[in-house]
Amino acid sequence: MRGIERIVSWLDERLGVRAIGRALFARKIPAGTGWIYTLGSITLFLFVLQLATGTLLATSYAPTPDHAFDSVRYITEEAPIGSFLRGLHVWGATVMVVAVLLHALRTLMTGSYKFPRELTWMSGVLLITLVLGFGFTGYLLPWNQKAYWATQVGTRLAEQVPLLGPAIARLLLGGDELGPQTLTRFYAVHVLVLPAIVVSVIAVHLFMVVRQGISAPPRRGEATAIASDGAEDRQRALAEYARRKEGGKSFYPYTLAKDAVAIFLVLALVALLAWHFAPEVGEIADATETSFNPRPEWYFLWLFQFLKYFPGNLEVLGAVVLPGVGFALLFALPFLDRSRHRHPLDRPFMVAGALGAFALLAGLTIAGARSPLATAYVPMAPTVARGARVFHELHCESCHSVHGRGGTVGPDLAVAIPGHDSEWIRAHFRNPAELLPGSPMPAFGLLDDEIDALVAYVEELRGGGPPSESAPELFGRYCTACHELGGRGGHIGPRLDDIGSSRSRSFLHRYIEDPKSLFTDSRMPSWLAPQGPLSHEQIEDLARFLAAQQGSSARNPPSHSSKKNP
Amino acid sequence: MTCAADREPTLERRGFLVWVFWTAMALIASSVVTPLVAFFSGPLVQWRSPVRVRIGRVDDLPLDRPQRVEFVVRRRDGWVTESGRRAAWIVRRQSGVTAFDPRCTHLGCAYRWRDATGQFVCPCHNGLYDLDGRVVGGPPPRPLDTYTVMVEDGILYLIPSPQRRTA
Repeated sequence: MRGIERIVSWLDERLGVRAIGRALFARKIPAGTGWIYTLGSITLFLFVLQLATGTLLATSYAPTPDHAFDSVRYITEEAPIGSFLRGLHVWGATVMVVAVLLHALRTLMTGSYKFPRELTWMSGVLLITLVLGFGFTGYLLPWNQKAYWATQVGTRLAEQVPLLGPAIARLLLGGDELGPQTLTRFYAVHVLVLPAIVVSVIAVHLFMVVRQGISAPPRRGEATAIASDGAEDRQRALAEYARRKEGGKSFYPYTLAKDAVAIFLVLALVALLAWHFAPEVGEIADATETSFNPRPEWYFLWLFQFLKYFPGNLEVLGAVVLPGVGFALLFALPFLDRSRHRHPLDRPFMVAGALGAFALLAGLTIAGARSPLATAYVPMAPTVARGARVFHELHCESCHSVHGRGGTVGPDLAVAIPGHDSEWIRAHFRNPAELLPGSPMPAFGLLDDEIDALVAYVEELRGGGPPSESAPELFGRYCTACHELGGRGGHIGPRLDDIGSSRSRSFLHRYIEDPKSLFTDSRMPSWLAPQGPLSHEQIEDLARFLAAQQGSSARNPPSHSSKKNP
Repeated sequence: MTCAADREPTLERRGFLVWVFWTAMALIASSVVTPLVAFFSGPLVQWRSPVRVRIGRVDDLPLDRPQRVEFVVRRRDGWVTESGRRAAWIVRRQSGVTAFDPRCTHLGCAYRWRDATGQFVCPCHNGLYDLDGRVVGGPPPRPLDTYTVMVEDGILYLIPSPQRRTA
């Protein structure tokens, strides 16, 4: 203890740290600031948490399109505690948006933006837009389908800005289209530019909070001054505040203890979310995939939904003008609000307007989240997707074709390997020449998990494994009333002779189980028990059977006995 | 206002809040720092299982005569998987199979086998090794580095990371 005392004295002589400490921690806080006054500290803490987790994530992240997705998958699936760390960052972002909005709402409700705290409020509004900027730039970094398409939409929206739009979009994208330059730009802005700006603005924001003191909780009927009042009125308001501040208690430990407990609870919440709802890796960004349904992160859903009400030429109104006006109004609020009252019940119109705006945003967000997906989309299983990537990385298509596209040196993988089970395929990938002497396929020295992924991919191409013997009979009993296959069956539904070329097993499975989940206007009933007559296993069987229907070259019906060499 | 009866509970409350503040801060700091440190220390606990390469049937290798084999090594570092061509010298003796790293232990040149003398010769500074990789002449500081080999069902596998041997 004496040692610490001596160090503090040493520093105090040179830097006056005692005075600084007193100004920061012994300053008085007006009585009556309850738990809702901890929202600012919570937001500040969450920002620090984002800085810390983000810095660590950056140690294992590669901001290039060929590695970004894999590095995020590495963090999430392989690095020790990586999933949790990324979860803290992802959920920390979400909770931070909530916290900063609630903090703003509290300030709005208590009229704390009024004289003399106009600048604190304006810096706060600026911080909200910067937080949204963090969300927008960070969302692209995992380079998965969600990231890619949400950013695609976001940057196209920027194009709507009158006159400057195209230039802004090019600056955001770093060129003509979303690609490597976009990723590095977003990365640099996310990890260098925005943190530097936000730290500076937070410093100013906090300086003002300390300098002016936390606004005293509003009292019914009490009037404060506004900027256009005379100097005397403003002095009176300041003196009244000074009186209430003097009646309060020291910041440390009375306010800080409350802040610390609140922060601890929020941290526990973020950790719980990160642990139980681990962030997903998703599918790698693919510009050619047309059935993906782009959705923004939840805190942009209001805008996503809002735009639906502005067709054609009016879109600029919904995309740029109205949100811009909204933020401008918010920014200038201290000068637009002429009321001297601060208690919410003394200014019903302001409060109703603010709550109405919040309700509108919440309603749009919920409507956006609930809006049906435009196109039917069933993502590939992760292993299958990995297999497809290994397939392309090793340029397998130079020799093998899939659905008729690719080389002809080796067999078409979708149709050629019936009769060989996955163990055979596995052994074949490990050493092609051993099972098929003279095979020109090179030994790639594939790693075990790569072989697993390739096997899953090839299996999926063939319909996810062979269907059972009874699958054709199952089809005959339940499906031929409406669907034609092999020249027999009804014409109410589409012909299914080539269905396997365009639809995957997983898609077919989901469709038979619940058609309306993929196409809302489908006339096919659900076949899954209890609504329908089929069990989950029978539907899987049918899906495999149908996925194997790949035009004239398909085995039809599939047979187990063919031992043809691929 | 300031009689003793009033002040005492206030002081007690203050002490309690001080304790609450520091306890909460300690909990917050440790729960944030622990995952950060654990993540950053990953390389200390993360060991990749070595890549095993299939060479071929042991019986196809000549006896007492080194054979240079080339193979593809596919290995993963973090999130990157790379394929590279590598080589090894395989010596099959009555006593078993040895695989040598194909670089001279002196300065890393690629040595070769000279049938006439029955020695490995390094072309850079005339380092000489015998069939067992022992130094028999020239500047090499230690015997040839070896690869771990294993034979399963008559198939030879090796792990292409060099093991040092002392002289």
